[in-house]
Amino acid sequence: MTSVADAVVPGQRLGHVQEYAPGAGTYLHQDFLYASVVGLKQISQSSSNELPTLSVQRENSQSAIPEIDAIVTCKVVRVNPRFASVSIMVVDGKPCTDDFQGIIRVQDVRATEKDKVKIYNSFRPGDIVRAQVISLGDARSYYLSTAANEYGVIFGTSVAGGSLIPISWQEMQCTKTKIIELRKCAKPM
Amino acid sequence: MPSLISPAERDFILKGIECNIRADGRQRPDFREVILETGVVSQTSGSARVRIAGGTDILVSVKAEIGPVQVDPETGDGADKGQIICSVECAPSASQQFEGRGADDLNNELTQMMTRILSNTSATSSSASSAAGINLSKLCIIPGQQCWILYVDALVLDYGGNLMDAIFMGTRAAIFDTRIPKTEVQDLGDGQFEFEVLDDAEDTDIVDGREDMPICITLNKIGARHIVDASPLEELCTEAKLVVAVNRSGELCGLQKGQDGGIEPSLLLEMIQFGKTIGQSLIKQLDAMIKAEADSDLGKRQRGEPIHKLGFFAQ
Amino acid sequence: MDRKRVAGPELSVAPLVEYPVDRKCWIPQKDHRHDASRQPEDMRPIYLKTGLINQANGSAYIELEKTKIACGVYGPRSVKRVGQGFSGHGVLNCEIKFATFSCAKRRTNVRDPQEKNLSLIISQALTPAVRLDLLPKSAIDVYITVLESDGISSCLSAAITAASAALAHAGIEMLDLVAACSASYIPTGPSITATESAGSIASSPPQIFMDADLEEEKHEQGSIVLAYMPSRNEVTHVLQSGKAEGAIISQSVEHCVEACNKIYAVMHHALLESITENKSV
Repeated sequence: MTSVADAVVPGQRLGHVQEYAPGAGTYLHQDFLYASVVGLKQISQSSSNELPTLSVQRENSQSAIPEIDAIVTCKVVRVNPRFASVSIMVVDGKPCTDDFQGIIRVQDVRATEKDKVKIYNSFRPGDIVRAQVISLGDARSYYLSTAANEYGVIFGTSVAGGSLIPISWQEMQCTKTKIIELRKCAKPM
Repeated sequence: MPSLISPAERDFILKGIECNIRADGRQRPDFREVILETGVVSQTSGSARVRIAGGTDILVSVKAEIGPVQVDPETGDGADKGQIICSVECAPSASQQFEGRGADDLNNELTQMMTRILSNTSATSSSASSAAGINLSKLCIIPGQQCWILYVDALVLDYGGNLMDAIFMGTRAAIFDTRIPKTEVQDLGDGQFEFEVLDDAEDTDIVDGREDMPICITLNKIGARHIVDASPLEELCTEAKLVVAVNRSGELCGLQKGQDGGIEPSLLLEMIQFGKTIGQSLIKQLDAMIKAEADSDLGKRQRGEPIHKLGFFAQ
Repeated sequence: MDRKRVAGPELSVAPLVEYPVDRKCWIPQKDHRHDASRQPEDMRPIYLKTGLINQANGSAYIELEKTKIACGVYGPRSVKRVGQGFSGHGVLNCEIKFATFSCAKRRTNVRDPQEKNLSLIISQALTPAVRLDLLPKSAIDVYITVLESDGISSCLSAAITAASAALAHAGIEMLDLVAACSASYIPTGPSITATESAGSIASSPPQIFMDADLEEEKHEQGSIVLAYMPSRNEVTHVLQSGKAEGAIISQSVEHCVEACNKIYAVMHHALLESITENKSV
């Protein structure tokens, strides 16, 4: 078990590179491992013929930031024929303190028949979408993609105000009025 | 003014500096050729123009105006002192990046650095001179009331790297060129004074203590080495820069690190020493340049010949 | 003529303020500081605590007797300022604000050029320590509020120390902590013992007083602020003003490095304390 005696601060020397492999929260400088965050030191041995990995468990985890291939949960802010603008709220299950802007371009909505995609029939403002980060994008927004079964709208409200439940991969039904609306749905998990 | 550099270009500069040869053929401690000219703007009390071969062109003007003295409300200091007020402006014509508010941050950084070195009056009350060596009490006309205020304004006309050093060379030359009209104070009795500014162009005061004005040397740390007088591309490779202000007698008048890198303490001390040596020899060269120009101007005036200045942007 | 206004006298003269005689009661003397209990190389006791601002991702509060500074760190978050292009690594924004009541003279609410410049110095001092390459396209905002200032140099160094502790507290990856320290060179008159033995020694070199307060700063000939990463052995910022001999500078740099190591111990302790507190809750 870890104890307070294992607590380290940035810049503290933890060991030689021949003893440990650098893990999260550490960095390598001139053959020595140093801590780069405040937290508790942990040593884990994955297999016997490898060096044990030395990592530092953060005490105060920093807010998540989107990176390539991360799975994010976001809310659609506005749509236009070329892309849907979203604000990213959760990255890999970790909430962000501050929203990041992202866009889902029309060619990234689904994997097949990309030319037939209409943003308006895929997303509406207010929908909650699960997507994957494909690029850090431009100065303003991250580029996201929903081109896989498990990505797409996971929650939405109909025009009448009832919540929508998915009935096929591109249709959702209002629980109140039974009206069918078009969406790019995520496969329920 | 370029803002980006390719990895290949950076590598080229880095390896060159390691081998003590730079892109324009200089060695690490070499300055580019400096052109210095004084008395270029007629409306000022003193002015100078500095051009560093390869781009940087700076005009420094000194204007002497009469104003009220600034008294520190806490200590009562400053009643018998004049003032120096500095400003730096990058002309929008010099670079596209200086357009609009683009130069605000740079202007502010340079102005604050200049103010810190030139008009730091936190010197003890016993010594009347500022860190810049200028005798501020000589600028006072009526103690507690009126004094001369020297406005030192630097205008960056063209950018070719190493702005700070050029600004200080120009400021030193402009202060050397400055002539302040003489004043005559009359005592009207019961604490009342009146003064008159004499408008005799031939009989004027020079700025006292001008020989002790510092100049500054910017050392750019690139890789494990450091260079002086960096070109714009070299400035982009700079990890950390160190501005060392030094005066004629080798005293340090200011020190500031810039840019986002670190320096080891031993290297820091070495860089300070290096800057001091370079600075002292540069001051000697500049003084010789100013003297030669003053002598030739005086000779021409005595012979009644017209004085031709090179003018702006002359190479 | 406007009769509604009170016509002032034609000529106005600035009032002559008489200063009390005992105003400058402290005269710099060798080994004799404004705070008599301190030796020239002594710093003021430091109180540093992290995690006092709830809303911030990381925060720190520092107190050196009459210097009191609060610092909050927000981020990493998306870059707010438009006009900055895409960049592969993060940006560190620092902003220092003196509270209107913090100095002898009232400060204004708007940021003045001095504050802008100090903000730049602080971000230059901290950037070498933060691993910004791990945070593409993001910004870290550091807001520093000076509640009470007792000398600008010591204020700046305390702000750097506090900001670095707050960054570490926010869980941001750093290479090392940054400790900062200030020193003043104060010309000392002949001390009492010296005058008795040998007439005058007016040209004695100035005394280096570490971590000078406002009263001492008024007498200083020059000052230096040094920011240093103790375990990397790297100076991240140096700022010197005023005139000084080369020897004094190198001596004060050494003193500051030594003092920074002591400050590092305080920071280390404060950060470990925050862990212990979290554990016990």
